[in-house]
Amino acid sequence: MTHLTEAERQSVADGGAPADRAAIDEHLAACRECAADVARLASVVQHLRELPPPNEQPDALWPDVRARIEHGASLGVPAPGVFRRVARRPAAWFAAALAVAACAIVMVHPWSRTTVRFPTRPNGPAAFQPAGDSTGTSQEEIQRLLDEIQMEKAMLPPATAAVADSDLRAIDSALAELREALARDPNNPAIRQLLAASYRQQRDLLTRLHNAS
Amino acid sequence: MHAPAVYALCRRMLHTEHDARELLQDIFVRAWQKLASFRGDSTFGTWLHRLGVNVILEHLRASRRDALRFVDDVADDVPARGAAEHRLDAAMDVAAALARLPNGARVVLVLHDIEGYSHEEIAAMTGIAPGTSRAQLWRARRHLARLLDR
Repeated sequence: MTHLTEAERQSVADGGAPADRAAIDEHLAACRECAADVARLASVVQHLRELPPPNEQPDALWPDVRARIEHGASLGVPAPGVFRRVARRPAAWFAAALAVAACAIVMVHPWSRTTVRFPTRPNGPAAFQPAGDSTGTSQEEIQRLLDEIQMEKAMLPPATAAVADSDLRAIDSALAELREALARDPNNPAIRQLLAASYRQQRDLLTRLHNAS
Repeated sequence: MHAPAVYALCRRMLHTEHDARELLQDIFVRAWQKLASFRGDSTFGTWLHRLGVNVILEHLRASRRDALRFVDDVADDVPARGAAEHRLDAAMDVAAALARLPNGARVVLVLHDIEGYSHEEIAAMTGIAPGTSRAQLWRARRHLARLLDR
């Protein structure tokens, strides 16, 4: 009897389905040696796949990371910006996210279903003019802000992050509506300004929290 | 959110808890420095995980002469479990056995069987050929099976 090759044994242990699987199964049914070996390998693979997370968990990660980043900043590494202190106050962070979500939703909903309300080129006093948005926020700035939010979320404890994530999803949903509206009407400066203002409000709120802490 | 998953990666690919904690910080510092390169082609978690693998591999390459030793470099000289060691549950056994594998073998095993990377991806990350990755995985599994039998 010709035994299974190493590749065949490993493939079966892996849960793979080689082309000649029927023949392999037939052999395994008849050959105890190969069957035992495949079972042993499969057990190893299964144990690995079901390996639980380590008992110990990372804690207080951010203070050390921040210290290293700040030390690096003096050597030319970009400074962490507004998230340094907010990160130590997750409750404040939620409040910020929640408030921003509320702002964003409130800002979006009145017009999101009726984009025709906005003239393509607003030129009168009735045109929407978001506060503090006279220059427009660049895509780079928006992306940098989103990156920093992602980074901040990554270092939060899972339960905290889940709440923050839920709040951010609300913001994302509101912003998605804005982007959708902009896609339908790309030349509408009011929508563009509103989108930029939504991001800017988020950033300003976090900055104020940072300055207050 | 992502820190526990990245820490688990560190813990499995490195020998000690201390090394894992150090590298976890390294990964987040590096992530901060490279944020500008994250453009949303994948999820942030995927990007961070991949960055973590690269940082760990760099660390392994730089820290020891046997940084990426593979199974055939050490043959069967893996020490048997000492008499004083307690019998651990199955998961602890696997984790302990994993820690005894040579770095290179452990890296391939963790990346493929636990983290789900393909041999092509592992080859790209480690600089070995896909066929070598496959062969190392098979040997590492056999090595692990022997360790668990002891």
